[in-house]
Amino acid sequence: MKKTIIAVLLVLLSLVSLIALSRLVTPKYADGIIEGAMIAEYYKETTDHDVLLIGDCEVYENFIPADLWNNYGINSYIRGSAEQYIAQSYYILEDSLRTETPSVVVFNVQSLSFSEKRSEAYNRMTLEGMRWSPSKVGAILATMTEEESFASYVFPLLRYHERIFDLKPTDFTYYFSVPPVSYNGYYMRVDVRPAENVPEGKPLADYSFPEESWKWLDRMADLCREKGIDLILIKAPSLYPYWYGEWDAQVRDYAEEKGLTYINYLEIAGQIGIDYSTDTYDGGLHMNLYGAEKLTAHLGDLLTSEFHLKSRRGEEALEAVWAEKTARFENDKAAAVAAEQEKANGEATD
Amino acid sequence: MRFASVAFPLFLAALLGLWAILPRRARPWLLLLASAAFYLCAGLGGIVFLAGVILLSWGAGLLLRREQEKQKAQIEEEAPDRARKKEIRAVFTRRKKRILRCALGILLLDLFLVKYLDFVIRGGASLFGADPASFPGLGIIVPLGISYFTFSAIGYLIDVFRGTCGAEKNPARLALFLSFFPIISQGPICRYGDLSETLFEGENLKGENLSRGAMRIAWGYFKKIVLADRLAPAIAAIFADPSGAGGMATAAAILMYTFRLYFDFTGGIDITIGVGELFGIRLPENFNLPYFSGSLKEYWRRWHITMCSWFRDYLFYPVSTSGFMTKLSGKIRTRVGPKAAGRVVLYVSSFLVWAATGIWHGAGMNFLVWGLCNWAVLMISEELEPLYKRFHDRFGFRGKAWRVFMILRTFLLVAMLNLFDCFDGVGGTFGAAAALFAPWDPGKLALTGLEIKDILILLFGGALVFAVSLIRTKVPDLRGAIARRGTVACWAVIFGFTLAVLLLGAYGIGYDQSAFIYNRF
Repeated sequence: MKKTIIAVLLVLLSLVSLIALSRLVTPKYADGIIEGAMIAEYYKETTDHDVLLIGDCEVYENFIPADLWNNYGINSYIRGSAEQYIAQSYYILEDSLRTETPSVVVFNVQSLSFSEKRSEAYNRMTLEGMRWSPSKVGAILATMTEEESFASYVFPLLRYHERIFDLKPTDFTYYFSVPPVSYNGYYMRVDVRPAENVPEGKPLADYSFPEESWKWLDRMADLCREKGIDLILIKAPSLYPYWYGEWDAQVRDYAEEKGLTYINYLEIAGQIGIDYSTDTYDGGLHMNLYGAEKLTAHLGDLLTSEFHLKSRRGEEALEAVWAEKTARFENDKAAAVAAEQEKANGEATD
Repeated sequence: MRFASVAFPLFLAALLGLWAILPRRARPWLLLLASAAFYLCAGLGGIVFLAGVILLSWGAGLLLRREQEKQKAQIEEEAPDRARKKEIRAVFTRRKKRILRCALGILLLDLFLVKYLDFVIRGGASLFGADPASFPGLGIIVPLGISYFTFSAIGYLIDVFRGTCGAEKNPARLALFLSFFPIISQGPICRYGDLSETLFEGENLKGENLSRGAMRIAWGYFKKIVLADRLAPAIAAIFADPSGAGGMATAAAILMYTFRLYFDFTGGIDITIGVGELFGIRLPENFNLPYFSGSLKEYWRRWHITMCSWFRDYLFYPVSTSGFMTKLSGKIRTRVGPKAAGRVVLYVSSFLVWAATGIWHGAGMNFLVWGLCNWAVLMISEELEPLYKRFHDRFGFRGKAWRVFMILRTFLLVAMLNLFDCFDGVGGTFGAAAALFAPWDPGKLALTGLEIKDILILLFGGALVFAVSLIRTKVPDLRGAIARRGTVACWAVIFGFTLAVLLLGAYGIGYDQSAFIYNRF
């Protein structure tokens, strides 16, 4: 009996040690490439959302939930991650709808253009952040690259064991918990790099989106319809990767057929005041804070006018949550703008 | 399913769970099902082939048994005198030989068609001036472990013929013997008489077996995943272009390959034997500290022991005592003398054994040349033995220092012979050997791609393997000694090595998770 108890205790000790080591070597994404922590951050939310925005960097760098709250009383969250495949978007939506039913889901259609599995690193950043559920299993199976294995998602030690040689102080600092890295999924950038000499897209042999992509978009549309959620398709005003007219026409036809709203922000960028010399931080790929403010204003107007979302200002609990979030956002924004200004002044002096 | 995959430990855990809850009689069936599942992971074609070999061996074994029973019955019925008894035996021996030859012929023909036909056709093409590379090959997928289960089947039939083991009536039991999942991919080559003692027992799980087995498995994984697989890319990088890498890097790669082969093969066998131990199944040892050998002859008594003993018992002895050899040796004895007769028998029989050993390792001229080089060195050593003896008697070279020198000399010889294993053709081997005479530039060692952390892991890991080997020369049952220290000591060893494998192992993205080298033989 004594031997059995010792054996059981030793097995437990082994398991705990392995889990603890696994946590240690798994990247925390608390600094540097913080995008890896964004998907997991959603689970810290305590409120239900009116709007969920889903997609890749064209979403999480282009819309500001804090502005939607402050200016429209809309409680929103961006479930975005770098190079999010459309299959991942579907499963992230499915995962979110397990616990809440927003009025509107906004999906950026850029990911329709590719269905092949391209990057293990981006996969990890998206999939590892998801909580274990059938949606996560589905997302892993649908999108992991050939070099990946399902087991390495279950036991991250199998993937990150070599990090034991490259541990950083942050691996210990953020061992138990990672501080918020985004603002309801928004990734703030305040620097400016104007778009210059953006090349035209090269002609393609075939402009059709992969069948696989349509399948996932259908599933997203069906899921939203089942839950009574309005799905809005958008194309962010990114100047590259090039968004072809042929692609746009296909999405437009699809939206019309399904009765969905589709907004190509590239077309209306001028109309809503996007200035590519001041509103982007990387030459036209992503919006900076100033561009994001303009896009958010347009989306807020659309949500209230076309989708009749009511302001939830006055809901005490929500107000309290947002007071804290807004304070943090405004503080960080002011600090980032000041730092950027200082940097610009320094460069001007040099 | 590979040993070095996440699926294998899970498969093993599930099997142990089922083993624990099933009644004793059902456990061999569980092993058979598990072996079939394990084998199915390697493809459906392979299992059909394996089933054919099982059925053939079973059928031929029963026919041999029937002849034995008939012989016994006739002798009992006739109650003959000595001469008649001999006559009856001769008749039945001829019949049994016909059955055995027929079965062995089919088994060897199968092996030839699947594994060697491409090689023979390519060789034939080159003899007639055609480019062997232009021959696309027959596209036959070689079933996993074909050499191992074919040799086990041959050994079984010869043993039944000789009467050293009885023919198995139950095809499922023979199927389990030939397909037992831990041994099917890289041996050891088992004898039915030995393995059947524990294979069908379905022994209850015991703490001692579990801890001993788990220690051996963890040690095997350590050697394979931490050491062998970390060396693999460095060796491949140098052998991709030995002449460009220069002398020092090529020499380093040759030594690294020899270590890798040891870590890889012995690691695999450790896992195999450890898995057997978990279920209370005793598998034969395949190594006995081979790199501590003082000569090539000794090395071949310590390396891949089951293969060497297989060739000794089922090829060397039958050939050296065959009618042809007896006649040949008789003629030489009369004309030259008894010593020469003995030598000729030894040389010819050994030649055949080493040619077969080479070819057994792979369908390629390099393997054949490797086998014959081993033969040549062994025969030259045999011839020079009296000279060595006189030398030692005169100069008194004995003691530890001399032993160390002999071990190092043998290790280097084995390393050079192993070079035939590293390239597809003989030309590549000689090219690499020639590269040893290129300038020795230490800077070229960087071509291995080994980082400081790799070198440290290899040095510490290698030192650990060396230390354990040294301890084993004094304490052969090291695991037994650890087990006697109690549960915590066993756990510390098992968990320590598991942790080392998980943290320091060369696996995952960025590594080409290599199969065990001996899987391809």
